[in-house]
Amino acid sequence: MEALAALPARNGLRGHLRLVCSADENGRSFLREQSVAVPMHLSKPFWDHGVLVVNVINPTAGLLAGDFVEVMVSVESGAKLVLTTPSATRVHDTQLGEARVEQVFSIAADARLEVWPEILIPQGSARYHQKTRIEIEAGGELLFMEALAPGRVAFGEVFAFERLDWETDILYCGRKIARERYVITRENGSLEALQAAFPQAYQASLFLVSERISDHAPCWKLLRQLQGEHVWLGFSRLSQAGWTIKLLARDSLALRRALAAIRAALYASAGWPDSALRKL
Amino acid sequence: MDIDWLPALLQTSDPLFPTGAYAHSAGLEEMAALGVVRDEKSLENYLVRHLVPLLQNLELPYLHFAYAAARESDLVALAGLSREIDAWKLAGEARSASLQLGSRRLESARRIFPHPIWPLFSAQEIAPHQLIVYALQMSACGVPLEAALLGYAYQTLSGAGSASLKLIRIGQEGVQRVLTTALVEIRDIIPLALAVRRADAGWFNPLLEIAAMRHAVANERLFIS
Repeated sequence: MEALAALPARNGLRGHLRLVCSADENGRSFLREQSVAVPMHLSKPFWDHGVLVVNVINPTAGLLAGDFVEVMVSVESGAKLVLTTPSATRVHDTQLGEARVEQVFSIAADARLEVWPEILIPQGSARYHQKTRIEIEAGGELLFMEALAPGRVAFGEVFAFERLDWETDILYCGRKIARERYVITRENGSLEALQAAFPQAYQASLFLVSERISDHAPCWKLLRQLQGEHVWLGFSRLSQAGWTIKLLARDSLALRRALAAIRAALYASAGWPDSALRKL
Repeated sequence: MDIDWLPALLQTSDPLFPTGAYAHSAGLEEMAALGVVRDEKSLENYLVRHLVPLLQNLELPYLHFAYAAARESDLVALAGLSREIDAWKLAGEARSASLQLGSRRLESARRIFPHPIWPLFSAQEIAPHQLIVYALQMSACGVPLEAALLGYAYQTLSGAGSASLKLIRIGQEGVQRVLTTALVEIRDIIPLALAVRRADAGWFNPLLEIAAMRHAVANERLFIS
């Protein structure tokens, strides 16, 4: 990861979120280390069925021009952590300098990390760069979801952002099992894939790594049933160790319903006790 | 003008060359099932707006990287590229199809175009993705880089065109009209594809991925992929 000090001077905040989640002698997860700096903030974590749920809050109402956020989260053996956000993350007009998030997640053997944020809303003229690296040791478990809105649809702002630059690498036992690298702009034709499905398509992408879920787990049948008029969905095994799920939805409601159903189905098949995110 | 390489390019890019490509639609069958491709106009849109950008930003750059490694007989680099292809082909069906086509091409190439690289490649147990084997074959046959990229792009587009004859209401002339339009685009993207850095190679098309994932579990299908 690029060192903060090496970044060129510019406007915007330089924040971070650094967490180390461990398990105590009773197997209860806790934050052994935590450090945050605006535009990131943490609410008080809570336990839910043995899982530590941490809400990551953005007190500045979103990412603004020049903001840079470094996220480093490590889940140690035996610990179980859910990272979520209480509301959507907005990327505002960032013509004066892209907003950038670089995140590294590490999951030890016998540890579980779920990253289930609310949707990302790139607003008009937004420029956003996200780089994610996830490293999982053998036996570690991951559920990673990210969802993208076309913009502030209620304001008639659809795909008005300028540029989304995405890079995701997932490694299992040191071997890369998934890579996504793309740039979405209005000019380069990348919106075609979204709008061929729905003019105002919402998109979500999930990665699941767990030895508990087999090819014949009931969740896959349930997921197939979600395909319909408002949701297009596919799922597949990765080259090793896990699964990916891709979906396109007609609107935000269809997306939320589908994601809730997917999460419930995956939890049931994995045998994970339900972990409520305590959201309306 | 030295065109000694041209017969090999024509021969290995032709559907007659035994790779089994005729059995694959590369996602088109499910795109037709979803109603995205249904006639000549939408087929042209699929080729020009979905496949051409995929070629430009992801597949042709990787063919470029593999060709460069093949020219140096750098099997370690080819193995690394093959593992990366494994990682970015998220849909299992697309990954399997790539390996299937690559394996068939490898077997045919070994028998038809003897070259010292083939036994070396096989000995390394590198996953024979189509892009990797095609790059090796083009390099072994002395096909220039730009021509190799053009040949690969042509095969991709003509393969989709060929599959469309069985999937939508379109005639051979209609397919050729679509192919003509798409090939104009291809000529323009070759230099752009060659300029893509390895760290930036990639493309956003969740629809193609969803189509490949849905096709893998479809109740009815004509094509393997």
